[in-house]
Amino acid sequence: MASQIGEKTILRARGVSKHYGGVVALEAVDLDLREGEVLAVVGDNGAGKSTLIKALTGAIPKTSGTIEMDGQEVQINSPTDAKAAGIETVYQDLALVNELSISKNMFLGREIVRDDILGRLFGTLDFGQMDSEIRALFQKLDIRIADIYREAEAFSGGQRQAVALAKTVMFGKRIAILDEPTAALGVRESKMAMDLVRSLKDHGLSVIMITHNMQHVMNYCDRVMVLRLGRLAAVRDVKDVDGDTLVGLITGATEDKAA
Amino acid sequence: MTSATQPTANSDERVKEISSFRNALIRPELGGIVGTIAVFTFFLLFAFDSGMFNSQGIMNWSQISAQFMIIAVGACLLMIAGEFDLSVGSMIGFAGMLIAIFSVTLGWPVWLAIIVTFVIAVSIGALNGFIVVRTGLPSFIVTLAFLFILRGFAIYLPQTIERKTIIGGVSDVAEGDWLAAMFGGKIFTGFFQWMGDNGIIAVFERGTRKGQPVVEGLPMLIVWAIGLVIVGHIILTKTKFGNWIFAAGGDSEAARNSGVPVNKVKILMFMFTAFCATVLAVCQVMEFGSAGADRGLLKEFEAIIAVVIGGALLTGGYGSVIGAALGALIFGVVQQGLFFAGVESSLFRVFLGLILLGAVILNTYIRRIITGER
Ligand SMILES: Nc1ncnc2c1ncn2[C@@H]1O[C@H](COP(=O)(O)OP(=O)(O)OP(=O)(O)O)[C@@H](O)[C@H]1O
Ligand SMILES: [Mg+2]
Repeated sequence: MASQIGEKTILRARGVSKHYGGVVALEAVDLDLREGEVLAVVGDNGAGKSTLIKALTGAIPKTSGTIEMDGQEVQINSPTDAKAAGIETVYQDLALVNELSISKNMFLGREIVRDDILGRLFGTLDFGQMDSEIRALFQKLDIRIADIYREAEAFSGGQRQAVALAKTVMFGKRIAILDEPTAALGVRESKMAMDLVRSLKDHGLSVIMITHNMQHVMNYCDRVMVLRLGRLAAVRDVKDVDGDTLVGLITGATEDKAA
Repeated sequence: MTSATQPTANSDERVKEISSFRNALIRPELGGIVGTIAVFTFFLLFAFDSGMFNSQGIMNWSQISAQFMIIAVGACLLMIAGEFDLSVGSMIGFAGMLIAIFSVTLGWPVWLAIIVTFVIAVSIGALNGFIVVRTGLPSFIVTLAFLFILRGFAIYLPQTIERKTIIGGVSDVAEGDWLAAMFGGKIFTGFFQWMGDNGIIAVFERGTRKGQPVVEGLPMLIVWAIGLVIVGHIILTKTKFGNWIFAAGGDSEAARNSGVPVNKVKILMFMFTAFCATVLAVCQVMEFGSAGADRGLLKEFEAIIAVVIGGALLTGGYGSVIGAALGALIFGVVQQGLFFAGVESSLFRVFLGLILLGAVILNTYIRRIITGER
């Protein structure tokens, strides 16, 4: 936890709810993300973690709730709005387009067009520029992908997750939101993914990370919020809790007194 | 849970070894290239003397291929974007009929008739796309509805207005029209005359056209086909928008999450497909001088078959305009080849069915070898 965490709240959400017909996926959840911190979001399967970040980033319309950035209310109605606000997200299972090459995936939606008349008129791509930026970034982050022109589906889960995280390193301006960045990863690859999370923080981003791994919460996160059955069950500083307490909060065995 | 992703240090090299072989195999155009070579070899061997490869014969199958190509380009981009349009054939009949009604029945200038027809057709394409992205219904169903709606109008309109299903007389009103010439005219006539004069291509031996080459020029139909193929190929492979087309068809959710305006991309592709159908409709009306209510019958399927032979996946996200163009070329050559070889023309349908089956099986099989799954 080298970098200092400011007291400033960069992202503040109030009363975020999401109902699917009669199903209450998320009910009146508040979230505060402080400048420079890594905030863990934990909870059982179906607790509403993915729903929360999808609602925050405009991937799904929220039933109710407000979002503020730097104290100003913002309207985030699509992933594009979120990106414009400096929020980069890695959605669970939906981060890369399998059919596209790694290089096309990296710049998808933010392609660099050639700096000439063709680029301006027709959006012709500057492949050279994009590829060299990708190579430089992969080198820096120690992501080993031999052939960036191969389709994403040809790579292992760990490699794909690394690419998705690299995307947030490249484009994340203020906030990175990660939905289970180590899900289905092996030991070495989990470590690699978590190192990338740490480098996001080192790049000055504030991070929200969903995880089921209590070890990762303890080792990499500053604060943790617990969701249970779509509601906020607890928010704690990581240094004030241990794994057992967290598991208790997740399952509901321990009731939270502070919340 | 962790076994699928072995963290071996040399996993990258493993990938590299097969990649050049694989890259050659996985090119979507592979099937089209092999098919084209096979078809030409076959007809060169067995039908060389039939007249298929003299200047008239070449022009003949080139024109047929060009027709297929024009609609295949639209169908190809749309399929890569993850959608189908079954209303292409009906659109050809409907758009052609509109031009004839506007110009002959209503007496509008032909250029105006063409422009208004394009606007209407492309708007219908947009409506198709809008319904598909808004309702989330499969485009198969939505455009099937338009297959019937447009064909119905293509028959109803001329019957009610002119009491017939074919409206002629377009040639007369199109005489000297600048826009009509861009669809029905021929270019490089001087060059073809020169080729005739120099014995490179045959000239008429007698009659009023004595001395003129048997092929007078390059029809605009072919120019449109080549132009659309080139433009389609460049958009798909060289531009930002092309990336978005692949992404929208590959995984629309992931694409949306990456900031790609998926709905806009899809709607634009439906509009482009309608545009291509209308180009063919105008070319046909100008060539025949008439519009028929049954024009374009089954063309939607022929376009889809050409695209699939060209290596595109029906599931979207994968394909090639060049491949689709080769698929169209194969069609044109085989259709005319069978004709020149004196084979019963209904057998062309049999051929289409067989080659479709073969192409899909081959594509799926190759893909399974490559990715080791699916
Ligand atoms: N599209 C949907 N329609 C109806 N219900 C949904 C939909 N998406 C999610 N839900 C419900 O919302 C609840 C929360 O789901 P969510 O995906 O947010 O869980 P999660 O905490 O991310 O779980 P996991 O750890 O398994 O990823 C679940 O009960 C789920 O069934
Ligand atoms: Mg989830």
